[in-house]
Amino acid sequence: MAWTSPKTWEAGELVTATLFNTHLRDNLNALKSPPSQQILRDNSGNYTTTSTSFVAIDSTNLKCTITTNGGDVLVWFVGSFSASVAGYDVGLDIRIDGTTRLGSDFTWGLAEDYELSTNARPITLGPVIVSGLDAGEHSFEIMWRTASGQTAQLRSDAGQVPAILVAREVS
Amino acid sequence: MAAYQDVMCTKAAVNPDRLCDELIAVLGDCFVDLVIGGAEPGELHVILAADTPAELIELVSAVVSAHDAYAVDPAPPEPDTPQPQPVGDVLDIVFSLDAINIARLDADLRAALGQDFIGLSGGPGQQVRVHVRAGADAAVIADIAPLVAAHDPEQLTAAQQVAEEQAALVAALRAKPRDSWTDSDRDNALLWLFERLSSE
Repeated sequence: MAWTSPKTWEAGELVTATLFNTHLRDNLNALKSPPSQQILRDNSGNYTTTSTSFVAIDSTNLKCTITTNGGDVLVWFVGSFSASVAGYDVGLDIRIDGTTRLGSDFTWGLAEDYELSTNARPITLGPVIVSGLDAGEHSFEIMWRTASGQTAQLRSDAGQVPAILVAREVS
Repeated sequence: MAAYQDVMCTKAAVNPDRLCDELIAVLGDCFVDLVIGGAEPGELHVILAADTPAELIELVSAVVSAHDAYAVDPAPPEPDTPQPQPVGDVLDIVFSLDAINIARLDADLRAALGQDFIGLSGGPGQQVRVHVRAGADAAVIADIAPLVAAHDPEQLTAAQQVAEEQAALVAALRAKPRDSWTDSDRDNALLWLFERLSSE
């Protein structure tokens, strides 16, 4: 249900069912169910990377796509990460619409663990607000990187835990 | 003589405030009110001053027709919120491998391709993605496929060999009663502990 900018009511104005439906019913419905997507990804095993630049973890299955009414979108991610050798690094970031990375001003993106364990530990990215988006379809992907010669792993397995990605319009 | 003129139109979806602004922009003071509703689906009435010129009345239906109920003015960005920046291009070259030792293939490709090589990504049920800089030479890209084809997942990196030897050492020590450890066993245990501590 799309959002409509609320009407400014005038004294003595004729109130019609159409106006009520547009400005009360439809807007309350829009607030109750904002554009939203949650992914609990089962990859039947670990994702792995040795990439020293940010790349998508999985551009097909770890990507939220929602059609917004324009404004801000809250995005967050939780995953259990490990490394083949203790002490390795992993950085996480969010790519918007396949072109722009939210944390591009930061070497390790928006979240980092520089002491990964061989046992998986959860890392949370966000929630962060992606602000000022135009109305329309938008995608949100999780990107990751590690350091040269290192291998980072993300658990994503029904036998363990999923990788969780959420995007929800909030304004 | 009627005090107002009523121009009836139909529109499936209306943002009344926005439509009023759009009508005022065209009709000026001749616009009096907008009444949404009526017997017909999507019916609305644009109320105009009695002396509204005919040429302005003719514009009413065009304004209503062009109205977009769902157009939204983009919110100004929050000053403290980090804004997206363009990302440097990464070229992904995809291969299907039955088995992969990702650390070994990474080491081989990094040694052969140098700065143009960014890394590898993959997982079960997936193909392996080789990441290279988008501006890499064609000759560099052409080197990738033979290197991937020659990959032997059984071959270990130097770090993997050390890790495997240390795991075997620890397994042997665990299997041996402590009171039967030799001086060499104690040295090996101390060396293993030192390696662990120095890598933290």
